This record gives sequence, C-alpha cells and structure tokens, in this order.
Amino acid sequence: MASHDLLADLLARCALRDRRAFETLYQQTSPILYGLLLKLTRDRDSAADLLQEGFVRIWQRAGDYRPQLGQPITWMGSIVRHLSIDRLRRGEHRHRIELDDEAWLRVADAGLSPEEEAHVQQGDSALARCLEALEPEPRRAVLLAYFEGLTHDAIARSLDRPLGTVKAWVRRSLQRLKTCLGEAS
Amino acid sequence: MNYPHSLWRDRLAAEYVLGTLHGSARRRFERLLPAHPALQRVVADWERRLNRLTAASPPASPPPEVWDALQHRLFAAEPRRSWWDSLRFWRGLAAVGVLAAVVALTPRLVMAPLDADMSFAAIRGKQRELLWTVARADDGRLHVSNLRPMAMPPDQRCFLWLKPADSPPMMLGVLPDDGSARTLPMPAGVPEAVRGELWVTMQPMAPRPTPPLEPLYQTRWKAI
Repeated sequence: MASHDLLADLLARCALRDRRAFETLYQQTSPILYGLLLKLTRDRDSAADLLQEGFVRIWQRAGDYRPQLGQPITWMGSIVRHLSIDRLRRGEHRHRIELDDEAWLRVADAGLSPEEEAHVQQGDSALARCLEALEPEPRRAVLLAYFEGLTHDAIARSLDRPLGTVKAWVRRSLQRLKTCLGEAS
Repeated sequence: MNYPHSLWRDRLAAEYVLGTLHGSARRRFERLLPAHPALQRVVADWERRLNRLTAASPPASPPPEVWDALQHRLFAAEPRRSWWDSLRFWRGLAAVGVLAAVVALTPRLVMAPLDADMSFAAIRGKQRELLWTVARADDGRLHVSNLRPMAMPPDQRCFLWLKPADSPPMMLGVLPDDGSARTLPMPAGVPEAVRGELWVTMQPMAPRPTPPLEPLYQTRWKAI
C-alpha cells in the first residue's frame, strides 16, 4: 500500500535527521493525528499542544519504528494517544467525564456518529461489526476507555456500576474483539 | 517484573493499548517495552486491532502555529553563521544571477489565477468508473480519496500531476490506492494559481518520478 511505504520511508529518513522528510511526514499525517487528538481531548488548544509534543517524540524516536510491528500511522497514532492519556491522568487538562446527551446517545448506540460510522465502514467494517456484537454496556465501557480515556474507576462511576463488573466487562470485551477480529480477517 | 505467561502479557498489552492500564502498572509496562520484543509484538497486535478506531476520527487541519513551534523547538538551536560570511550565500547569489538570465530567455509560463469554481475533480477509469476524487482546500492543499482499492503491480504507484496547457506536468503527489484518503500538500515550486488538467500516471515508486508525456487518466476541475 503506497501510503504505508511512503510513510515508512519518511520515518526512516527522519531517523537520519532529514528535515525535509519530517516536513513531508508532518504534512501527510498531522491532519489525521490532529483529528484523533481533537476526538480524545475535545479541546483545540490541548489537541494542538499534544500534536506538537507528539511530533517532537516522533522526530526523536523515528529510528525506533519497526515496519514488521505495524503501519507507520498506527505507530504515530499510538504515540499521540499515549501522550494524551498520560496528560489526562495527570489532570493537566479538564476532561469531561460527563458526556452531553448527544454523546451519550452515540455511545449508547454504536458509539459512532453517522460520519464516523461512514469512516469506520470505509476503513474497517469488521471492527464495527465486532463492536456491535458486544453487549451494550460492555461496549460502552470499551468506547469510554478508548475515546474518553477513562480508567476503570472513572468508567464505573460514569456507568454507576461496581468496579469489578467494569473490569470484567472490559477484559471480556477485549477478548471477544480479538476473537471476532481474528475470525473476520 | 517479569510477565512470563502469554495470557497475562496479552491482557496487559490489551489494557495498555485501550488505556485502562494506569498508574504504576502503566509506567512499569512502558519501561519494560523497549527491551522486550515479544511484548512489543503483542502490543503491536493490539494496536492493529484497536487503533482501527482511529479511522473513526475525521481528519482536521491543525493550526499553523504547531508547525512553527515544532520548527523552533527542534531546529532553532543549531548554530547559525551570519549570512555575509557564508560561502553558500555568495554561491546562491551567483546562482540567482544565472537563473534570472535563464528565466529572461525562457518564454514565460502562462499562470492564470485559479477560478473560484476549480475546487473539485473526479478521476474516472476506462469504464467511466469513479476512481478518485480530488478536493482543493482553501489553504491550497488537496484532499484526495481513492474510492475503490486497486490491484497495483508491486513497486508501482499512481501519481497525480498538474498539467498546464503549455508546460510539462508538475507532480502533486502519490495517490492512495488502498481505498483510503489523503491530504497532499501543495509541493514547493508549484505555483498555487496555475491552471491545468489533472493527470494520473502509474510509475515506479521514486522520490522524483519522470514527468510523463501522456497520462493514464486525465480530468479537469469542476464546479461543485
């Protein structure tokens, strides 16, 4: 796939301190990563800030990227996601544990807005199908963790369920997703 | 700490990627990662599974300050000599002189301003099937979507070119061929306001592919 090869090539050049490659890499991937950060933080300033941190790290660690372990965009996405989670846990930005009604409906439904649904369908209908196969509450717990960055504790408070129940939901849901995606691919 | 059991390793990796591993467990896990390839592999597997959700976030253009700040943070610290004692500057000045002379002798490219309605293009295949759409953002970048994944010969890529009426094509970028979308920056050296057809070629992957003499597909900008 062209884009993955191209990005892997750009990362390799970044590891050799090629600034032009870094610029191209930024141009090619920053909208995707910024979109992801907007989703995670729901705050333009935090998202911009984390994007900057993320690209500093990508520049510094470009040499660590291993093509056999996954696609470049997944690797870069993980870097910004983990930065975002770390910051969230340090409480550096106010994070909405309370969702608005519309967001709740989305989470309760399939967890995805129509446009997101379209993205998922385009990109990966298998994952959408596997998520749909989960029970509503466990699915909600998984999506709250992934999209809202909530800990088990926070999910339990949000859903008003015992901590142990939430932990079990998340653990079982992950295993079911693994099995379901394994069958699908 | 050791994580000997593959089941435990898998569970921890899953919760790490999901984000529910937290506190000291999370930090310990992150410290273990660099030295444990097997653990890295399990994490990568979970990233591959779960980060497909990443596709559910619509891309958005980041504010330009982010790039400026990055430039400053990463590259500003390097020592800079004054421009007047830089040999490169004087060499550059000489080159500019030569270039100015060449430009004066070359018939000028006709660069007409871009029409307001030249903001969208559809690239169709031989059977008129829709292969790509190209949308031009206000900032000059092009958003290209591949509407059907293509079986590409290995090492070949589809390139997008801008073909002005009376000059050779200028490369705009590599087109996605896996059904995905991508934003192409306006490459340096391509005047933003140039008018022309869009050409698609299939060529061996190279940083600077040879400008084609004729396209595989071609199209014109349309009004939306």
